[in-house]
Amino acid sequence: MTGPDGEFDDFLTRRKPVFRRPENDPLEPPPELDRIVLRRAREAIESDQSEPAYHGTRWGMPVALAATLLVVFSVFLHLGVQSNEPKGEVSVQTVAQQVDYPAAAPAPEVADIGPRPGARERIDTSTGFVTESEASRYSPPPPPPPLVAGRTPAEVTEPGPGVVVIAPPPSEAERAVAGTSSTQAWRRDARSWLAEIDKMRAEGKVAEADAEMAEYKRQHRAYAGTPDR
Amino acid sequence: MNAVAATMEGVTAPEPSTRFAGARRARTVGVVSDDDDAQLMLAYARGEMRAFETLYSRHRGALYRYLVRQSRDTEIAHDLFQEVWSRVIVNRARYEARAKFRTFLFTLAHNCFIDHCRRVRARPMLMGVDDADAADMLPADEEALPEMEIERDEVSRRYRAALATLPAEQRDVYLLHEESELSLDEIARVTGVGTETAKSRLRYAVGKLKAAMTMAEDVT
Repeated sequence: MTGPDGEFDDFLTRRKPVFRRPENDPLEPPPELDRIVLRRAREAIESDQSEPAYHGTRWGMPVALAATLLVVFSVFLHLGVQSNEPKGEVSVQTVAQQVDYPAAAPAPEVADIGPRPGARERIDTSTGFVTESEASRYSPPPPPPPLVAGRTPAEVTEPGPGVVVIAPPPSEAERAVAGTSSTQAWRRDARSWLAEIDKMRAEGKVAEADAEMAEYKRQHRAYAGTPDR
Repeated sequence: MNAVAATMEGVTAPEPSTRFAGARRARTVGVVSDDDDAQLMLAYARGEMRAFETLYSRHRGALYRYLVRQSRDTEIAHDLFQEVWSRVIVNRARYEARAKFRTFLFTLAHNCFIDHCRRVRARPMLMGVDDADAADMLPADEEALPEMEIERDEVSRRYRAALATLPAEQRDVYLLHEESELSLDEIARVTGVGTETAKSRLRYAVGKLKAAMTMAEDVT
């Protein structure tokens, strides 16, 4: 269509005109157009020079400062709230409730000889001090029931948790011991107590001696090495 | 080198009408360094107004002719001309010297023209052929013209008429080749087609123009 390829190649390389075309095309932009374009170009660089190179400096610094202050204030506020947070009132009632909790656990009901009365003692709340009788309630848990004569070891077993063991009615010997235990002065000393038991056996009061021995063992459980007489 | 010197000399002239007189000669000689263009654009981005004036003087004519021939309407061409240079101004900081300034400039021009066609909802290939409109683009000189000038004007009129008969894609490729003096690869990049497609369009355009101009000469 365009003739030989050589002609088109000449056209591409601008070596030879393929057809006659106007030598000097008189089309030129009018002077008004030149003025408009040049004015825009000048205004653009003038606006560049009037404005700072980094636009963020005008507002970046105050924003950064405000953000920093906000973070610092938030951190201090958070720490202040944590330090002022109530850690629970340390009052007598609170302590009593906390201490009462383990006491509420089921314990075997045995013949109580210690200072653990069933009635609750009054607490002097005005001063916050615990009375002597209340303090005695915080003694260690009671020892296991005594080994009563005439009962097999299988019958006297350690109760499991939550099991209420109802002790059998005290025997005659126990009642005798209980009746005199509070008045016997030799019970205050272990050596004299053992000597008294030996004395009972020597006198033939075997039942009383066994009861005393049982009571002795119950109150001196820590003495594991104490001979079983 | 003389052409560049003439262009620079023209920039220093205060009057706009005479300021770009040297640019015309620069186009005729065809000596414009692409490296110089890139450096001028970078200099303008740094705030040197005279660099922009030099750059503008080098490319204003080619760009204007491309837009007038493409749009075939001087008012539209004026709007597009301002829009293209405005984009050059706005994008001065983002310009990188990796591509030729001419490629950058005519890519903007091509895109501006495509945007214009989309705005007026008229596809370029559907734009009608109106030889009278094409002839009106040139200011008519009512004075008595010498014979040589009459003939030159006749050639120019036939050329514009033949150009108007081309499909828009072929006219686009041909005008880019003629006015911007870009290579085929660069034209393909500007128009967003492959090199072979651009070459084929150019071949068809040249063939049609040759046929139209030869026929008109035979008639006269």
